[in-house]
Amino acid sequence: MNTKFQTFLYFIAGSALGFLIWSYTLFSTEKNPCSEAVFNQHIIESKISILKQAKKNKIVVLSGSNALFGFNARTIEKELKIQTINCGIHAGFNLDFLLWLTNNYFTEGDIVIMPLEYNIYKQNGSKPSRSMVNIVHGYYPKYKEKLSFIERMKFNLTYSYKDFADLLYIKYNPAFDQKFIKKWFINNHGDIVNNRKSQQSDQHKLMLSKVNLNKVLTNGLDKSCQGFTRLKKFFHQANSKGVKVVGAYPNLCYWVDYENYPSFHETPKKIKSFFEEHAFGFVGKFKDSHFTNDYFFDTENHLNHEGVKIRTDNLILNLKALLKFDVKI
Amino acid sequence: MLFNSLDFICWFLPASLILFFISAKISFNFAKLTLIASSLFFYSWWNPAYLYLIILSILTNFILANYISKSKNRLFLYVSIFINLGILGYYKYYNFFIDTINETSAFNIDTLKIILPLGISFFTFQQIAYHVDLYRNKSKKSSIIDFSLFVSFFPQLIAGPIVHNSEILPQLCNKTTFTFNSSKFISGLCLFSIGLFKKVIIADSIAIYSNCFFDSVINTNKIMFAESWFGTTAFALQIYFDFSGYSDMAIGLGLMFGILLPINFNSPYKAITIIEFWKRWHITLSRFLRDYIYIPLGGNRHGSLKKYLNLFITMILGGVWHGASWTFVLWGGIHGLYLIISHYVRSQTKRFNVKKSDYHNIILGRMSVYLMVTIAWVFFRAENFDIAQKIVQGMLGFNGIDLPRFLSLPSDVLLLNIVSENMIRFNGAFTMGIFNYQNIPILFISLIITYLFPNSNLWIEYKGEKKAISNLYHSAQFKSLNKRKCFWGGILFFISIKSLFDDTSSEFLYYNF
Repeated sequence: MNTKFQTFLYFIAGSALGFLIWSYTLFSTEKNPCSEAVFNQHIIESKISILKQAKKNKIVVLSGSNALFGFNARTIEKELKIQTINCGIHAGFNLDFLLWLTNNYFTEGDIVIMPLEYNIYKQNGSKPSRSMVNIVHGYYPKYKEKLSFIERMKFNLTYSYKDFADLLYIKYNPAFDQKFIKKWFINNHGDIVNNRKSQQSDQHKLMLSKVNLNKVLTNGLDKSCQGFTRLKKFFHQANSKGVKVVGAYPNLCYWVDYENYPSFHETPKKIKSFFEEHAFGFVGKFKDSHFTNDYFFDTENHLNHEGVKIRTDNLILNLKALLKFDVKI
Repeated sequence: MLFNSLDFICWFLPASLILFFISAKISFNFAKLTLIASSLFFYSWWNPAYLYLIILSILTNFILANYISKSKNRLFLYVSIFINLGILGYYKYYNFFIDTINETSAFNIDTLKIILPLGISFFTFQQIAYHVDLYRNKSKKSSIIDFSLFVSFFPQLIAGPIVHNSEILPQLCNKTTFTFNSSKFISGLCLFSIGLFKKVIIADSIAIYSNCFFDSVINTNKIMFAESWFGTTAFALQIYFDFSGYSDMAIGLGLMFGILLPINFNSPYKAITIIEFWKRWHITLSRFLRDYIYIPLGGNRHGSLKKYLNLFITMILGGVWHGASWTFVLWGGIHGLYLIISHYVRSQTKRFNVKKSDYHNIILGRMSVYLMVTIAWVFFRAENFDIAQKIVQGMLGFNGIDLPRFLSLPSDVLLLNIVSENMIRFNGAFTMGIFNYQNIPILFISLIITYLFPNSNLWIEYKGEKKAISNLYHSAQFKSLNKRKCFWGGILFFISIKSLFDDTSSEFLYYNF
């Protein structure tokens, strides 16, 4: 063989060896979680165990962490006399994965409210987020079986070196106890309770004081985004099971700068009309999802205790109207 | 489009290489046109609206080159310099000029919303140099296709190396340039991989620390000793790996297309004097400043004092070239002073016959270069003088020196502890909460790579100096890389590519200049 061609083959061999070593080490560490995965699994486990024990005809608020820090399921249950579960998990997980985790627990007569984060509609399945890759690798490698070969390869390559080092540290450090990884306290309705304003750190206050505009709201969405396609499939499944799916807006840290972007008002309209066209309905006004930064806890998606109260009361009113309850204003 | 993005590596580069080599089979000029089209597409990816600017710049400069070449009239050269610097001035310095007027006078002139076109400093300088060389009869007039390719060739378009027409135009006239050469291609691929590794694995990892440090300074009153040195060292390493990584990628890409670009970095931190540092750092810019500013100012022809003044002016202009801000002016001025001192010391050491090659001189020299360059980087990176001043005060120990607790000794043992009550404290080195001891290894490893590893040009045996380029090119002496190096190149390529999947591509620092 031509020597020059051989050198090229050596380059390819080097890359291939790198890929093989990486794939093997990743495969051999499957079901070993890094600390971020341990943290997120704690939330998933809590929610799934509540869903497992739940009865029929329940209300489930399904979304990323904006729902976890946006509604109080216990209050909703008390007001509507319907079992309510806060199934807000993590916006970093794509919609397909959120539904893969929860869809089996939805039964006839259930109402699933989806205040999905704007980025969930846009999510691109071919580039999974770091949190998604970590949780799948650490706890749900089975999820990869439903992916195509290329998607699976991309998935494996997305696992970061930093998280891999963290994983090895946890796995081979006998003194390390996973219990020490920070966890939130979640009640038996799936609500988070330690988001009091008094518990907010200075760093969070500083972070929330800076204008941070949501890119999806400033750049806009088109209906070809992957989230819409996946939702349609879910609506169809839900419909055949007798599950009612209702859309809602996620929490938004409002800045007046948003008004400079035409898509700021167009995007929510698109989302609302999508749910109204394909699902059972949509609850809430866009303006009602706006809060100033005083009402947020640690990030621009997570409301503090006071914010959660306002948002929950609002949802209760809207649900009463939607479900034709006797509304007393 | 960034060289370190998956879009570039997985789509643009393979597509443009395939198109280029297919068109090279058809015709020599067709290959050039394909490469120009790819380059303009690459440029327009960033902002299609500015495509007109580079096309207009190329056409105007080509017409002016015709006049300069035919008439040798100095007026046309002045027109060229005026137009090129006028465009650069408008986009890069207009708002800086207005801000300065507003701050120093009672005027309140509105600034304009101008987006700095990518690579404008680079392609403007290249074209001015071409005109000057045409006027001086040091270069021959080229065709519109060759000239367009010389200016727009995408590997060097955005952030250099600043190529000289005598390096590129002869290659574009030789038909063998575009014949597929597997030795050049594989060397280019390996060099690109090394550059990619330097950028995404080393520079981007260190960037976390340097960005965190410079962002924190705004909200901090007193910057402590260890933090200030740690943060500035992080930036010194980040900018080196970022820019030398970019240059390696650019040269590697050039090689893949068969075009040899000049080397731009030669282990600058291994320099033992500031003079040597500038012969190793951003070599093509130093060369441009020397040939088109320092020498026309008079160089060293009119005595020491004039030489020092010329050096100082050249470095100030070098600073301004980097950005429209007074901090860049000061950075250039500091390096100007360093060079003056360095030249003076060199003239004295020659007199006293001090040997440069002594082991301890090398270590001392490298340490002094590192300290001087790192202090100057503060002004390069800081957003304003207040921030720079805070950091330098911390570096010089004005806010006291905090040392690790384990260094603390009983107070009656060391004289040091007499001073320690106010000046030296044993509270732990990192007291500000920006960094911790776990951050040290990455900087330490990067320093080891910087000082002990051979640089990428040596590794792939690439000598990109002007003469070497033409020799390599004409006699096809381009050495094939051995199999072991290709294998390692492949591994580095995978490690870097993998990293691009889990991270978003970050811009090169020199894209802003």
